[in-house]
Amino acid sequence: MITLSGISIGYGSRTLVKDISFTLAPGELVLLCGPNGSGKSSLLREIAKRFRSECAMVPTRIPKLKGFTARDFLRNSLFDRGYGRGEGIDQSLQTLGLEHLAQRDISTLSDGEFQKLCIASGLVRKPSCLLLDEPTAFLDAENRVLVVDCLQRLSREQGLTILFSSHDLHESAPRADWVFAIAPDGTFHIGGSEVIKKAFPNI
Amino acid sequence: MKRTLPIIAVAVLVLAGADLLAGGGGFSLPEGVLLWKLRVPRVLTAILAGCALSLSGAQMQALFRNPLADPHIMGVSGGAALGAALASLAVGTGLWISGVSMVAAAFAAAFLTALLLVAVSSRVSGNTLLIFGVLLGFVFSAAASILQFTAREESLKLFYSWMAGSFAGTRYLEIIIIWAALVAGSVMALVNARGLDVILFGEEYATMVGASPKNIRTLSMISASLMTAAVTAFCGPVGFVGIVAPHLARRACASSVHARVLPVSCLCGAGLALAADILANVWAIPLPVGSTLALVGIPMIIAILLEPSCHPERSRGISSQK
Repeated sequence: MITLSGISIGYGSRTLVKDISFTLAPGELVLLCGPNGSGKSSLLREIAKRFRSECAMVPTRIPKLKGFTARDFLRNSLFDRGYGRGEGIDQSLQTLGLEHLAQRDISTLSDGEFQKLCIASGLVRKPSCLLLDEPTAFLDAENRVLVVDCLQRLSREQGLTILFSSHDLHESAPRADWVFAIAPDGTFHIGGSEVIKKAFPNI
Repeated sequence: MKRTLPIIAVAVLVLAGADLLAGGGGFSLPEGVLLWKLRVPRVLTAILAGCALSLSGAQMQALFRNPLADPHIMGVSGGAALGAALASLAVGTGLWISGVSMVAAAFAAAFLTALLLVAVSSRVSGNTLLIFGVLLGFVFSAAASILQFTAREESLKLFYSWMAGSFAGTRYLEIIIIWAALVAGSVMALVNARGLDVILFGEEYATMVGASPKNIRTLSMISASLMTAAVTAFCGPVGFVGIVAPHLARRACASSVHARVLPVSCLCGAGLALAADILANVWAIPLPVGSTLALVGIPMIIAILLEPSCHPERSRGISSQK
């Protein structure tokens, strides 16, 4: 259970969103949406910082560097946990159906495969809550659906709490258990997918 | 990797043997004193300098996420050279004799340059940082040129021959100093190998997996500065090994994982330095090793630049991404 109470998000002296309070229950899939620069990434980082032991965060735009296998990449995620003995890595790859890619160089993976691997890099840390910053960014429509499917499956089957940010509101919002929407004026709305209309009336 | 390492090790041994024979206008094995006082120290210096510079280059390429980063290009060698010039030219020849004060001056200047690069690296992109490093090198070079006007003739002669770069003329005490810097620097690099892996994926990623980008940067910079300073102080500003060797190593072990790349990089650097030293010493009049290294290294750097994996937009290899 992740409970935030009265936190504010901003850059330096500028506050973007004030007095945020909500609770993420186990197994919930929650969409975080808002315009660019509204504080979505800052909110995810703040949660990751406050709940370091429970949460694993996967940042956006991780480069697909040549010379790292999928297994090497997941081992990197265990930086502060000592060298992974391999079982956590294998388990994460299996959970996402990526075991056949374990020895593949990550630079040769498709964008969809790599995004799933990034999710696996969060899972390998065995968190109770996964925070994903725009996991569907730069993906085509088919891969966006596959990634959101995968998140839904993880929350339902593994009981993992997932908070993910996205701009693909029409595809992601109906699949989420609830939505946290940051409006352009800095106010926020919590609820079902209908809150998107409240937060962004022009969409 | 399992096959590559012994092959490269054997190639380095063959090159070391050839370098031992190179001199006096061709290949010949000299008599006792010449062998032990000139050839053996030269070969040992080439091996140690190649290892040290390649390890420094591998760390800087990871830290700055730039395939062309190395102590020479990024101005750290230039800083060390200016420090050495200050000790030898401004103060006089008295200090030139003292290896320790030369290393101290070169190290201090190299470390200050490295600190400046780290401070600037958090504000600019990898490409801008590279240009900054090149410009910094020009500034140091200009400062060293100004110092030359104030120097005495005998100091100038020593300084010019030092600037040309050479693995020859080192004494065993100096070799021990370079070896000690290499041991300390490589221990730091190996301890930091996993940190270098994660920082390649960006600072935010590194922080999320529990690493401290600041600690990784500091340890790498101390390691690279220590090794670069020790080599530059005794061999002069020797370039290109630090850029080329890590790329050869990544290709040889088909990996960018630093625990694998760093040892192979060390061997590739030793091999390159030995090849350049052979090329410098097979003539009746020995050539400056800085020039032969440029002849060997620059075509390789051009090949690296023309590779698709070097282009950031492809998001592959160690490309400059912020």
